[in-house]
Amino acid sequence: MFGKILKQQITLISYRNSVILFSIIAIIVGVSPFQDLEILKSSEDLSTLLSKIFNSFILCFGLIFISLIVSLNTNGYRSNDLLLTKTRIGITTSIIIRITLIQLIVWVPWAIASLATITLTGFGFFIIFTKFQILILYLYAFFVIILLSLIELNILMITNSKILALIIAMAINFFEYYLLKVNIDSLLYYFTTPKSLLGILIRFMIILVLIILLIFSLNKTILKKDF
Amino acid sequence: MINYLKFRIIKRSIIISLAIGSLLSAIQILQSLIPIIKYGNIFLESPYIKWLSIDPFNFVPIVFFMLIPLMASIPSANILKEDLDSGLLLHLKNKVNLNKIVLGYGLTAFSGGFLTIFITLITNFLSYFLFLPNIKPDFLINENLLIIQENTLFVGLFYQHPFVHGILSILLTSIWGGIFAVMTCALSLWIKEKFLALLSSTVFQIIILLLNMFFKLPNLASYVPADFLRETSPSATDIKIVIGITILISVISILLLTIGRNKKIVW
Repeated sequence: MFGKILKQQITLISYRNSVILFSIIAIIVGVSPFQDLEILKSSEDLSTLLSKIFNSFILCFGLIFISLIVSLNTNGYRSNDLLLTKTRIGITTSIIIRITLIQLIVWVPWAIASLATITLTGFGFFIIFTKFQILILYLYAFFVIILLSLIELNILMITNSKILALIIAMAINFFEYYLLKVNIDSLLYYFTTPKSLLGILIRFMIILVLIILLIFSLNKTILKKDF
Repeated sequence: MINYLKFRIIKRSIIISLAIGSLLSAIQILQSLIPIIKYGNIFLESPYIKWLSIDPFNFVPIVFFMLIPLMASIPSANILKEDLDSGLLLHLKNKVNLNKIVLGYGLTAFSGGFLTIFITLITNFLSYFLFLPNIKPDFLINENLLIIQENTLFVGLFYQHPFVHGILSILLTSIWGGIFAVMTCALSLWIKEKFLALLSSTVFQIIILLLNMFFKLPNLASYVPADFLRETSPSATDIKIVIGITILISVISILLLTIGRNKKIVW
């Protein structure tokens, strides 16, 4: 069943042309620190370098905002699938496969463009051979996006209103950004100003546990939902 | 036509967009009033330098001015798309002239966007007069806010008649809310997905925000609406660029609406 659903979701996504627009925006977000990095060429201070690569304002209003819109853009299932598969777990798996696929389309161009700008400005050797922990932060950003879009879909399944789901997920996003600005350790934006490797790993585990919990709650709401 | 459109607007969507705006402005009022309640009004603060559009020490204005296109287009911008999809427009076409129909939908979109932004901003501005004394802002006392010619339009008027300056700023912002709503209405004819059509002008503003980082104008004047619509913007502003962008965006949205009328409604 898993393979068939995967094939179905790939064909459904390939007919959506709007995904191309969002991947182009993700590339622009990835390229945006180019001018700041040109200035920073001489210094090798890691914290200022990180604050330029992961510019929290552009991530909040560019990348995460876009990914929240993308995950609500299309319906992940058809009501015929309920009758064909005769299980409701099929809908949950199709939603999760669709989210991971569609966020990969946004995340992969961003990560590649961001790494490409770093190598073009001359920091590539410095990051890949001496400070390779930075590559973990890119993965952290991907799981942040997945967490927010799962929250969004939970609310969508309960309230049946896309606008309400988008507003609540955006409110969580902006609240975390506010916490970052007043120097309180936030969960979602910790990767923009990391203090230690252990802190990153602990928060990574918390996010993974939250994702598993949200998948269970999504499954529960779909089992009791009146289609 | 007007009576029909009055019935057609969904009242719940107006409440949703007004709720977002009033919630944001209420958070801003609470955050800026708490230190004044604690320590008293030592620094002679007045409503003119504390309200939503001018407050530089707060996070809420950034979010509010980024979400203006979304708040403006929720009430009445996507009803043209919904009617076109359901086929109600073909029924209307038999009774009323098509030019009148498209003009009516455009005007409802504009007035919906105008009114929601106007109501939220003017309630925020006037409710500050309940808490703070009506003192004229002074260039020496309020030097820390840095209200100068580079980042404020008509700065002489601000120090002479601050109330008039505030009202003019609110009017400019609400006209931009209307333009964003018309733009959503025009772009929704060209976009297949209903949800993306509602958010099209918000995505458009994000694209402008990203482009502003690469292609900079002389004197680093910003052409992002979220920057120059604030009474004191975080970046440099220029009156020529503000007028130019306003005319350009409104002409583009009206052109898209008229071409969309010929290509998408009549075919």
